Amino acid sequence: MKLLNVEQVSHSFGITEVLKKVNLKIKSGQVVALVGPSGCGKTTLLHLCAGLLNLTSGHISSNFESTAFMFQEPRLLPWKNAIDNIALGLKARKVAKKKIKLISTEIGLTMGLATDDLEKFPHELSGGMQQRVALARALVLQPDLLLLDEPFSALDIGLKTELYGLLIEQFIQRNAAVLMITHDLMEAVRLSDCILLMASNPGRIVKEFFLDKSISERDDSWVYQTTAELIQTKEVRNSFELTPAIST
Amino acid sequence: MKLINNTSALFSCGFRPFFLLASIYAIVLIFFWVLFWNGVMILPETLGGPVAWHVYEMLYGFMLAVMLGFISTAIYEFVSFTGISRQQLMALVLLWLLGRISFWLSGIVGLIPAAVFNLTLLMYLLVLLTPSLWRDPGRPHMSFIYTFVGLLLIECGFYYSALTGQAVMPWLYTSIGLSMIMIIIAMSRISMRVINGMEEGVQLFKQDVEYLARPPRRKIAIFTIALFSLAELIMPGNLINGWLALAAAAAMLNLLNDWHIGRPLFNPWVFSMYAVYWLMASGYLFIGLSILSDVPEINGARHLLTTGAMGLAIFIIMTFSGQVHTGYGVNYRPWILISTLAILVATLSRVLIAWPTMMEHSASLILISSIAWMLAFSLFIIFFWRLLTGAAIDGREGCLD
Amino acid sequence: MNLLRLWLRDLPAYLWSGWGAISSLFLLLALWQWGNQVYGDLVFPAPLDAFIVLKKLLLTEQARTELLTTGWRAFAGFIISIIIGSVLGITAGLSVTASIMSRPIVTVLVGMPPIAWIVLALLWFGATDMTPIFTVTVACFPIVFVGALQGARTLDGSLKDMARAFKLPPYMIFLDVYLPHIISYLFPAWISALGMSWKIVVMAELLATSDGVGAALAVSRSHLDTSATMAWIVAVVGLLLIIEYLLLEPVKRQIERWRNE
Repeated sequence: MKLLNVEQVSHSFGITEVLKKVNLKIKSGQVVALVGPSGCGKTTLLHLCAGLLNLTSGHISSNFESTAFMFQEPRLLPWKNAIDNIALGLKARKVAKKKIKLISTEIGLTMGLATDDLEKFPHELSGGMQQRVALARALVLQPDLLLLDEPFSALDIGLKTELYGLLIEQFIQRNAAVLMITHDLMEAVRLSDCILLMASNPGRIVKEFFLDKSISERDDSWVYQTTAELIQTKEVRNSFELTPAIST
Repeated sequence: MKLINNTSALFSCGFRPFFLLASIYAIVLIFFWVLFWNGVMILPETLGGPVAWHVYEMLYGFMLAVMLGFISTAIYEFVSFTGISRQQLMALVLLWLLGRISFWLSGIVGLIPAAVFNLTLLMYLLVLLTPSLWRDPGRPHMSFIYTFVGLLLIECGFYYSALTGQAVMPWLYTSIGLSMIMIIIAMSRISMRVINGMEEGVQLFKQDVEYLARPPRRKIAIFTIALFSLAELIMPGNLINGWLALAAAAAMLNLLNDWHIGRPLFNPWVFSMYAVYWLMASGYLFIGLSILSDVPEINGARHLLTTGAMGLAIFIIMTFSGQVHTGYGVNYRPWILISTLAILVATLSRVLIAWPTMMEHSASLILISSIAWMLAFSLFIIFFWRLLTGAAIDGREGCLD
Repeated sequence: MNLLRLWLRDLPAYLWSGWGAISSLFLLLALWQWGNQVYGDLVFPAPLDAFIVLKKLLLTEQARTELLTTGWRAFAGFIISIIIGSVLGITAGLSVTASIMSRPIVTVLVGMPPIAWIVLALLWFGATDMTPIFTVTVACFPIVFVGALQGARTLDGSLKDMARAFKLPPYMIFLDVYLPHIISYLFPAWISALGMSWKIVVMAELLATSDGVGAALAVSRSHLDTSATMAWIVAVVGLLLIIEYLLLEPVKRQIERWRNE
């Protein structure tokens, strides 16, 4: 069984403690959502998992073979066209050139890019198209663990749903694991198996919610209802600093 | 058979009377000119002598008529809420006719009537056009007003010099420069609509074509031409003018950048407009080289601008707009090609006279040039008479699309 | 290879767009002609006269040798300065400490008048090739250095993170992430340095050597031959225009195709 295991991780920037004794586990085939208000240390935790920050206290172990990361912004190389941006990870793995082109084109087209879009530079693409390229760049590596830092938060609701759909489809097929950040509770309810609620000062996990219904079977009314139930819980209201629930 | 069935159709839109008058006048003027040149007859005594008569009437008679027709039609596309009424159009035509008659008679009755009628024509046009073009948001078409004002000022200078007994030709040479600017502006409007398929009912290309007449390049061309024309007015024969003419030639070639759009360039309409710019560039090139190498005769090179660029541009504008606005749809017919080639022949044979070894053939070259020119515009009259004097085929009224 | 193919593909359109520049140059010639008419042939010879002298000059073996000598000196100084300037600038830019420390030194180098370098170089190297080459090198170095420093300092941190997240090997981080960004700062600096080298070399030759265009200018000055002086100026400026617009500018456009237009 593949597993990402975070144990007793704490982290400080200078003298500010942003994470305090965080524990979490993710297994293959699981989608875990980290939910919490802005500034609760979600991104720091994700960066620690990806190895973008040095771990100072606690322990993180992972036996996933390949991990991909998607940032909040597309972060494409402006001097490479879409196809070369998609191929970046493959090039780092020293895959043969011909094969790189073939695989990258295929995944680019799957992500809804047109053939002539693949030749364009990032500045010639719209925000949505740029995120498609970024998504293709992550998926082309066939990762078994994907870390998502709210990559689609700047897109409109239609595009967001479409791109998440593309992503989930790929993951269900391969039984991979996803750790995603979001500040949108409904998004978390729609997409994840497990919601980890975080609170700030210092950042910590205060509650776990498990959602039993399989992702493909969730419909809008189930999502609305479950979100409404979650938002009534004491932990959620405290974490997002909402006024106490009116008892009915 | 009545020649004009329907004066109400003829005066329903500006291009109709003016294109018709212009094409007839193009033939009349050159007919008299070639007879005079070959010594068959003498011209009526007019202000400034025969050469001034030739240039003045070609510019302020022929070219201005076409521009009046163009602008009084295009105004409906530029600003939708206004236009020129039938009575106002008739007044313009009348002023134009009086201007021609009074100039022809200027040797007999003096130049005051010619000055009054011709200057009033331009001033009346400005009174009609300026308010609506000025109110247009962003004022994208005010450049037409500026060129007409320029033309008016130069014409004032022309009559002032005539009254005070100074040389009139420099004013006319400057008018040529201004005419080139006017053509560049008018063609930029037409070409954008034509090539990009924006003209209603006109689809030259199956695929989408992207052509932009970019303002910066056009402004450089206009600036250099204006600079050369002014310099020529202020200090005729100065070597500085040679460099300025070369600058204008280079600026015209620079303008061609916008036109290098691949296959669509080889559409006959598009290529004709493209050729106009080449003629202008070569005209200024040869004028510049002549001035710098101390060749006194630069009128040969000047005819690349007038007979060549102006003749061809006017012919294209008249045939294209004429077809569009009479509702017949745009069709590049064989006679249009023949006329275009005739204009090119007229230009080349006129330009060749300036070639040192060709001097002795000047009489026959002028004859060839004149016949070719008259042929081109005769064909226009033959094929456009019914279109211009009859009602629009699709039943629409006035100039409106 | 790809760059060369693209360069060739876009060359005709690029060359044609040069007519705009040529038009401006003709306006400059008109101004020159005007200067001639105001000040007379002796003080300010007409452009055509200068061109005729230039044509005669270029037909002589000696003038070609002078141009080659000057060209070689400028090129040598330019190459040395861009190599040293780029390497040191990038290195300094990658470290905050080094860039803070190098700032004042660069200011001193920029502020040092080239004429002072020429005097020093004359004392150190005498009337040899080394004097103009050295002067060109020290005059161009700060321009290239600052360009490289800026390029390395402004590297995008978020792209660095991206490169680490995708586990790019160090050579790819340098070639695909750092270099294109730095080049976009370096290349304009190189072009300025080229113009600078061309100006400095003529000045150094005028004062320090007995051959090269600068020396030829000194001779024409002593003969009060203004036509020849203008001819040499036209030759020097013309060569610079050709190198810059025919070689460097198209390459720059290809390199920077990814930028917003």
